[in-house]
This record gives sequence, C-alpha cells and structure tokens, in this order.
Amino acid sequence: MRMLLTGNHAAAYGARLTKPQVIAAFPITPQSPIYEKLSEWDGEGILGGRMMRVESEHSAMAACIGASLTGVRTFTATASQGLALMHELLHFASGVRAPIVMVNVNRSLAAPWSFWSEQTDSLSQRDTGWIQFYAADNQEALDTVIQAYRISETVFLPSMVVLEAFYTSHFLEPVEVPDQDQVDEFLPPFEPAFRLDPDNPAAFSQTVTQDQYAQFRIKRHIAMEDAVEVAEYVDTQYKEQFGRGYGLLDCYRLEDAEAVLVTSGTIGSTARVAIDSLREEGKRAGLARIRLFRPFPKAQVIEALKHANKVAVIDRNLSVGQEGIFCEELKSALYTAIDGIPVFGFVLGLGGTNVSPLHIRGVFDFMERYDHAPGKQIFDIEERNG
Amino acid sequence: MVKQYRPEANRHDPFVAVSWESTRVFKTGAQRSEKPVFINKIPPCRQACPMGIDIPTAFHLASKGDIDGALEVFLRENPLPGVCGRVCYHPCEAECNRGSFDEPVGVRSLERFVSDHGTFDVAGDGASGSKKEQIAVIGSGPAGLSACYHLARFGYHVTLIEARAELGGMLRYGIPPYRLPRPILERELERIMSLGVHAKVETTVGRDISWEELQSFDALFLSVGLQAAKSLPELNPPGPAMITGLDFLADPGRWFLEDDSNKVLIIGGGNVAIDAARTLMRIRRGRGSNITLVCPESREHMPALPEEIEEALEEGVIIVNGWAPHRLHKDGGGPISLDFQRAEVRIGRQTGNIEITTVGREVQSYPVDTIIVAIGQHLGTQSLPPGIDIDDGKIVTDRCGRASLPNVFTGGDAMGGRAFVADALADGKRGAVAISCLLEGKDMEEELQISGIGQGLAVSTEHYRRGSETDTDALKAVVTYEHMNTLFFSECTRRNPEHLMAEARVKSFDEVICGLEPSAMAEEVSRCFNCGTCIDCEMCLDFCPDLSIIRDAESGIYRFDADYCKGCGVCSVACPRGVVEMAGETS
Repeated sequence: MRMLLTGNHAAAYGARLTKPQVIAAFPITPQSPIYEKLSEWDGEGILGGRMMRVESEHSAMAACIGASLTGVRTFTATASQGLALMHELLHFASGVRAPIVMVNVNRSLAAPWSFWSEQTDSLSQRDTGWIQFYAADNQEALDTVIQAYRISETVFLPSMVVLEAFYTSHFLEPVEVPDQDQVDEFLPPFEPAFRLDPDNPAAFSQTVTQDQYAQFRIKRHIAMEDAVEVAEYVDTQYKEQFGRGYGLLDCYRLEDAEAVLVTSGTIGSTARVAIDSLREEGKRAGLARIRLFRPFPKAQVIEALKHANKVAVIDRNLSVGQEGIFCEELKSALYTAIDGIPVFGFVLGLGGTNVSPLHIRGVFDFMERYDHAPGKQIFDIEERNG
Repeated sequence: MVKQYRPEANRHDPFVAVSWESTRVFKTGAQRSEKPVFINKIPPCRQACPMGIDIPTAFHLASKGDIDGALEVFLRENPLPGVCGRVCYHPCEAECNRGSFDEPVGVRSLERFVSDHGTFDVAGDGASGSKKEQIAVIGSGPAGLSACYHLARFGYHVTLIEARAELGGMLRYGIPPYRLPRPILERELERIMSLGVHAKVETTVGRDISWEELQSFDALFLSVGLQAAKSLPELNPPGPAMITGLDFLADPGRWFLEDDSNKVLIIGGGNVAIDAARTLMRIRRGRGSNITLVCPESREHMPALPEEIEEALEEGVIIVNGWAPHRLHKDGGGPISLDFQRAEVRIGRQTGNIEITTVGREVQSYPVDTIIVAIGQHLGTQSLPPGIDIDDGKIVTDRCGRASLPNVFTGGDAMGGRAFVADALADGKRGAVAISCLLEGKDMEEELQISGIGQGLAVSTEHYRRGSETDTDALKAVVTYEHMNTLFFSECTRRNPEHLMAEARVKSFDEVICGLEPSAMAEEVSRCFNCGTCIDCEMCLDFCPDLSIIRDAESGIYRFDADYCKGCGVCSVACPRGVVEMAGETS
C-alpha cells in the first residue's frame, strides 16, 4: 500500500510489519513520533507485541536485551543523548549476541543543546559491535528495518538503522508499505541460539577467563565480518520479493566516473541532483553512498572506486581532532588497495546545517582544481574557491 | 550460504558466554561477617500495658478476620477484656509507635470489639483443678478477679470470698453503668467462674468466717480494696447532708437527690468525683444547674482521666478548679453556704502524697444542700489477718506482692498501687504468679523477672505458663519507632468510636461510647504496625539478593541459608517491624 509517511512513521510501519513481541522505548526528539505511533497502535490493540514504557533509554535497552534472550523479537528507537545513555548496554547487547533492531534518528549531541541532524551520535557507537545502516529516505528506512531483522537474526548481532533528524524523520514522502503476509514470508519467526529459559536455567554473560573473553571477542568480530555477505544476500532477496534493493553501497552514475563523491544518508540523495547537472556539463562525476557502515564493506568500496581518479568524502560528522569518520574509514579501506588516489575530506552540514546541490557542486569544483588532496579536512568550500 | 549459527551447531562451542552449570558451587556465605537474626521483640504498647498484652499479635489475628483468636490473645493476660475495652486508661495508645507516624492505633477499641464479637472458652484447655492446692482470694474487685482467673488457669482450686451480695467490687459499685454496662460485667464474671472458681458472697472475713479458718488454705490473696471513704470532718453537719462518693455511686437512688432544687456540691477531682457528678446528672435527667464539682487541683492536674472530664463538661457539669473547702457558714436566715479558699496542690517530696495548701485570703461561697465528698479512700477498720504489717494506710509487701505474713499476698488498692482497673488486674496476676512460685518451690523474684515484659512492670502469665517454650531475651528487647521501616506504611486516619450526644446521654444510663462497627474496626486493625512481631510479610524473603532466607513450611520459622547468605543486611533493613537484626557472625 502506498502511503504518505514521515521517516519516523515509515520506520514504525517497518517495525510493526516485523511483529516485534517486545518494544521497550523512551521518547526523545526527534525520535518520539516512532514511540508515539507504536503506542497508538498498542492502544488500538493492533501492535501485536507488548509496549514497555521504561524510565530511561538505559532501561529500554536492558529490557530489550532480557526480552531478546528469552527468544522474542525486540525493537526500540532513540536518538542522540538517549543513544549515549544506552552506550554501556550497546556493548552488552552485542556481547550476548541479542539480535535487537533499533532505529536511531541522528541528532547533534550536546553541548551546546541542539536538535538538528548530525551523525556523531551513532558513529560514536561504532565500536559497540552493532551493525549500522544509514538510510537516505523514508522508503529505505522502512525497507532497512525489515532487512535488519533478517541479517541480525542470522549472525546474532544487533542492528541500528539510522535516520536523520527532520531531513528524514519529519519529512513526508510517498512510501510503499509492504503487505504483512509478504513480510511474514520474507522474515521467519525468531529462533534464538541460546534461550534464557526458566525451565532450563542458564547463566548468561557470567565471568569468564581472559582467554575465553578473547575468544568471544574474536567470534563476535568474525560474525560481524560475515554480516557483509549476509547483508548483501538479504538485500538481493528483498529486491527479488519486493522489487526494491539498495546494495551495500548505493552507486549512481559510477560506471565511468573519474571524480567520485562518497557520502551517506540524505546528502547522498541531494548529491544525485548535483551529479546530474555536472554530467550535463560533460563532467564525469559519480556517487557512492555508503549504506552499510558497520561492518564496513571494504571490498565493495574498493570495487566501486577502482576506476576513479579522485575521491571526495562529505561527512556530516566529525571525530574531533581527527577528521570526518566516513573519510577516515574510506581511507583505511583504500590504503594499499588503490595506490595513490587522492581523497578529499569535506566536513559539511554539522549541527544540521543545509548541504545543498550547490555545496556539492562546490565539492566537485574544489576537487577539480587540485591534483592532490590537502592533508586535512575541509570545512569551507567558498574560502578554498576564492 | 553463511556458516551455521543454529544452537545445535554451537552448544559445545557457544559464541555467547552461557553456562548451564548451577551457581550453587559458589558458597558466597564465606563472605559473611554478620548474620541475620530473626527474633520477635516487645512493642512499646505491650511494655506500657500493665498486663503486658500481646497487642500486635491480637491486631494481626484480627486483621485476618480471626476475632476469636484475637480474643484469646487478650484473654491470655487479661481476664476482663470487655471491661478494659471500655474503661482502661490505655497507656498502650500513649506509647504506640504509630503515634510518631500519624495517630496511635485504637487498641482499646479492638479490645472491646473482640470481647463483644468474639468467643473463646477459657476453661477449654482442661487445666482447671489439675493441682491439689487450695487458695482463697478475699475481695472480688479487679485485683481479686485477676488472681482467681490466673490461679484457676494454672490449675489451682480457688475460693473467692466477697463481703457484698454481688461480685465485682469497684467494677460494680464504683463504675457507673454508662461507662460499664452491667451485662458486660456479668459476662466477664461468668467467664472467670467457668474456670471452677468457688465464690462465697455476703461473707465478711473476721465476722462470718475467721482468719484462723482461712489458714487451711495453702495461700491467701488479699484484694480487699480501700473500703473507707475519706471525709471532711471539719465540715460535718449540722447543716447540709454529707455523702461519700462511693456510697452515692453504690446506690444513687437511695439519697433522694432527684429533685434539682437540691443544691449539690461535689468535692474532689478524681474519677469517683466525676462519676458522681455525671451519675447525679443522669438521675436528674439532665437538669444540671445545681451540680457543681470543686477541686483543689488545676484542670490539667486533676487525677480523673481527661476523657472523663471532657465528657462531664459536655454533659453540663460545672467544674471549678483551684479551690479547697474551708468552712460552712450561714448568714442569718439565708441558706447554708460552703466557703472555699484558693488552693494549690503539690506532691509531697518525701511522702509522695498529695499536699493541699491554701493561698491568700480569697474566699468563694457556694450555697449547698448536699455535699458529696470524693477525695479518696483508706483501709479504715477493715478486718485484716492478725499481725499483718500496715504502713501509711497500706498493706506492706515486698516486690512480689507478698505481705508480712507467710503465704499471704496482696494487690489492688489495699496495697497502694495505682487506682486503675488495669493496674489492679496486673497486681492480681503478679500475685497469682508469685503464689504459684511459692507452691511449686520456684524463685518468685526470678520468675517474675523472666516473665517480665520489656523494661516495664508487666508480667506475662502466658510466658510463665509456657516457660522455656519462648525465648526470654525476646521479652526484654523493645522496638522503638527508630527500629521500624515505615516506608511500607502509608498515612491513615484513626477510626474513633462514636459517642452518644451529650443531650441524649444525660437522660439515661445508656453506654456513652459506642463500639466500632465491623467495617471501621477492619480499617483500624489494618493500621497496626505489629511492631516487633513477625507477621509473615516476607519482605526479608523478597528483598534478599541471594535468595538465602528460608521459611520452614511446617514450623513457619525463618532462617538464613548459611551457605549463601553474604550477610549484606538487606533483610534487616527491609523488615518493616524490627524483627530481623544483624548480629556478629561469631555471636
């Protein structure tokens, strides 16, 4: 069914279609409409599962972990400060291999106080062992929630599906909402690997030896690496059944591109407009929007950029004292793989400031003028232009 | 496609830390330096009760709807719950821990309620007459009745000798029926008699039977009271009629005082004076213009109970405080007046007796036809065993209530205790225990100490009867408000009994205070904190982080699991009632 939905509501529909049995969440701007929509359905008795109204995001994640271990599908949603509060339990969730799916709506972290889009909240959780998807639009948000369960429940790692404050969370777009029986067919009921079962008591996450700890860490890493392949497979299956697939990288006019923009989220969809206009001018510009950030799809990125002469990265995030985080990850993937390719790191759109097609044009113009990338990130295209 | 993550493939090499082994191998009890001790303690109400009644247990049973059980708890220590539920000065309520929280619990209301609504056969335990010894109790007031009751329950043969025609002493002849309806008294007497007590009424020792004859008994309990009223000889007639308060109360109709033109002055500030005023008010059917009570004490220092004073004032009795009678005088052919002088009352530093001194020369005169004198009683010419020591108008005793003669014990007013029913009942109980000790060759001081409640004077006959079955330490430790964990309680208004309207009650001798309705009583019983008394709330069990508190299903006794209790003390903090305490591991 085609509906006009905000990104938040699209994510909520996605969640409902997966029939989560336990949803534990706490409201926070700009995620609250997800919580409210789910509560509304709960009130109407059409949610199916149980909605737990907890006293904090920390408790929300704790509840999801406990519920997930008993073998039920769990969902939660948060943003920014709420995600930061969960931090301790994000490690726990992946450590107990609980395939929880969470929507995080990117919002700039305090201080100072702000409500607008920035990816630093979710990227700060990079090393917690969660799979991370960055969606560019509302349809992708819905589809990725459904895909995430299938991936998570295969490799037993939790997934975070990331939307952006207001750019996706509150903007209405036409969204194709799949039929329930189609989703049921795509996503089988959750079977836990190890069930927390009072009738067969077990201790989870008990104290282990140093060696055992190391082994569990490595197993988690291997599962995360496996998730690349699983995610690719699940996306293919999804496309087969629903007619929509995204790939791990969303590539646009990349086949013959010499200058390639690598970015994520909504800037990726804005970039298409800029690239179209550059192409009209005969410039061989292309786009690779990174959809799966963790595990980082190194092979797919290398494959996508193998013909490029220059690469620009736009990050709506900043690792203070280093550079944009996607840029850093990309460089790490390219090092030794593609020799000497210049990577221009742009940090734009911080605090939710707008990144327009003109800004993106400016990025390509900037790249055109230099043979070598500067040794540090670029905050201001205009200044460099002058 | 990808490798197998299914459980069956991972059970022996799991990718998550999971263990199906029992954690019971970890004996965390080794970490313990303190251990919980479960021991019931004495609540302040019970310590304050002259009879040491187990109030929290009675409340607990009543809260579960077991009114008969609650009555049984009262009857363990008190033969007269129906009387005390009406006339007791309830020192328990003054000490109630709940008083520090919102309002004290209505203990007297419960005592009355269980007596009026419950049934329990005190003779049912079959102890009556199981012992061979014979004991005579002389005087059937509360002290004597209490001695009879407890001695009979211990199994002795008891003969109760009463000079008057009916049993009850001051309960019958001193307390008016609007405070203690006679059917209630009869019911209580019947209960005591059901234990096989042999009563001889209209028998005055020294006249109808000699003290020598009584020597055939193994022990005597003298509860003869103070039968002679103090008078004011300096005011003696000719002039107005002079009646003692007790004579008036014993038979109010005998004095022809129904006509309200007869100006009556009542002199005295105790309960007898108040009762006389209120009784007079009733025989005059509420016409109270000529009923005036004058006493030397200030209002707050009157010996009468505050609630009695309040009720008398409501009924229209005029109370004049701070004046002592001085002289009668007559001006010409006018009416006779009684002059009063401004007075002060002090307690004598050496004697402890009340000393009245007049102050200044101010005089107030009241015209008077009849004077009712209610300023106390003394032994008078009462016949007592020859050779018994008397001092300051009281029978001399040791701490166990034993008089100067062998095998003679005493209690009640004759011994000079407090003039309240509950205290007289306590004297009778102490006498019963002391007599039992004497006859069984036990050390009575030690036994009274062992069975003593808290740090107070009350003795538990229940404990004396059961002996070693209960832990004596538990009878001494008192639970103060600070021991309680009041987080579990919420504020709740006390349910007070209704009173008849003053205008209505002065027209009859109907009982002034009504009993609580069952619904109100149900609310009131739920207010009791059951201080120091385990009522199986199981907070300790619920809060124990190590699941180490165990309740034995058969005995109901709580203990801790020594293998796993870490001695964290959460149970003792959680216990709302101060029952669980931490003790050193080595103690």
